Amino acid sequence: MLLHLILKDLKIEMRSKEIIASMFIFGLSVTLIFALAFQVAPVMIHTFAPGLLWVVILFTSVLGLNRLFSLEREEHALWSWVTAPVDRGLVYIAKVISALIFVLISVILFIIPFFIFLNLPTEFSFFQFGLILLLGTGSIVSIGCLISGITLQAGLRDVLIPILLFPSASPVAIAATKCTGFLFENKPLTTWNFWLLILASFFVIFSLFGYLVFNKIVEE
Amino acid sequence: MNLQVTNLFKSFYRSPVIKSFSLSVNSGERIGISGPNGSGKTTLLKMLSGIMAIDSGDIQVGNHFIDPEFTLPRKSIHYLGHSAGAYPGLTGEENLIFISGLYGMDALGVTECLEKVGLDSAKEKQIKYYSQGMLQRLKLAITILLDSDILLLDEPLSGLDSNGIQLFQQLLDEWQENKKTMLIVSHDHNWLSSITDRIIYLN
Repeated sequence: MLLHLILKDLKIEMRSKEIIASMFIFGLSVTLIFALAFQVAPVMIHTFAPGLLWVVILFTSVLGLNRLFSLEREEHALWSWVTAPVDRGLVYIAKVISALIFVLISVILFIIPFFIFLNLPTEFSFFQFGLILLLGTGSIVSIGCLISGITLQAGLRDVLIPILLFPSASPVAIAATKCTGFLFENKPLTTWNFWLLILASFFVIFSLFGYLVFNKIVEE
Repeated sequence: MNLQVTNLFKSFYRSPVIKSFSLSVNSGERIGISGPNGSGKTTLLKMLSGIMAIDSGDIQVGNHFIDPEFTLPRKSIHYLGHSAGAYPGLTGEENLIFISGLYGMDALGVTECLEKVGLDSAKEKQIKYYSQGMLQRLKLAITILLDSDILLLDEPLSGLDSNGIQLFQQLLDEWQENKKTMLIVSHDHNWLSSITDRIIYLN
């Protein structure tokens, strides 16, 4: 069932390419703005780069989540699974996985120009960087999907998602920035694994919480 | 399948729309629901289908109560509403395959359902390009496919041309033969009285 729900989102996105394209273009534009703004102080870029990276990821995630849940509102498509004998919690998990796939693809696409334009060093563990990206974006989308579910029926949902997501995801952004900063400085994992554990905890707790409450929040 | 509604209550922004509503529908019975705009006809059907949460009261389908935690009773009820309840980015065929998967059914009957409602030539077209009448036919195809015991039909003739209305009348006869329990919402009181066993007027 989970795969059935994920494949539906992937099929719609493969056809329209709306979500990934808009997130990539937005991420690239913000990267360019940052690169131009910090041109006068290139030394500062290295200090601020981890924070800038997670600001871009957070902003692009909002775009993606907004669009992903809009699919459910058009023609009240959500009625198809709200009235079906399926565990609605699985729909939430499927949305988290779909959103994670879309955000990670767009991050992979704009992270290369991010490193080139901001002239950042790349001598660090790519495996650890991948793990930080996975847990960081996973935490953001698990919180974001829950908020998108709560605001699914709201008229002002386009505004509500960022207003509710940014404060809720700020601990994730801080932890992810810390992890990325330590990684860029080539500090050993043992000195910053605490922040990585925070990311993992957020991902697991919000995914479980979303799975449990999604059943109640999607009804009108 | 029987449907029992007891003391149903629903309000929006502290303004009650449905107060202490009770209804008993026997298996195979056809009930018409009529009333002015804003009287709660669609709200009632949405609560029965599980789309809308209820404030208080009970809805019993067969031996099961409608509750967000229990998925089983949802298999017995299908709501045909104002919107398609399908994904505009998918084709008509893909939507039916997706919905059949949600009900744990195989996709063998999909093509047959689309043929029955006259959408076989448009089955590979994304439904965002469908006209209002085609969307209404798609909703009928979904209803045929799911073959639920209780059908909640909200303005089922809306957007249908004369052929579509004829098709719906045929389906209505088939559903009656198959002892489907039906709740039909319409503003056309004469039409409702001609096809239902009794009419409930909401005000």
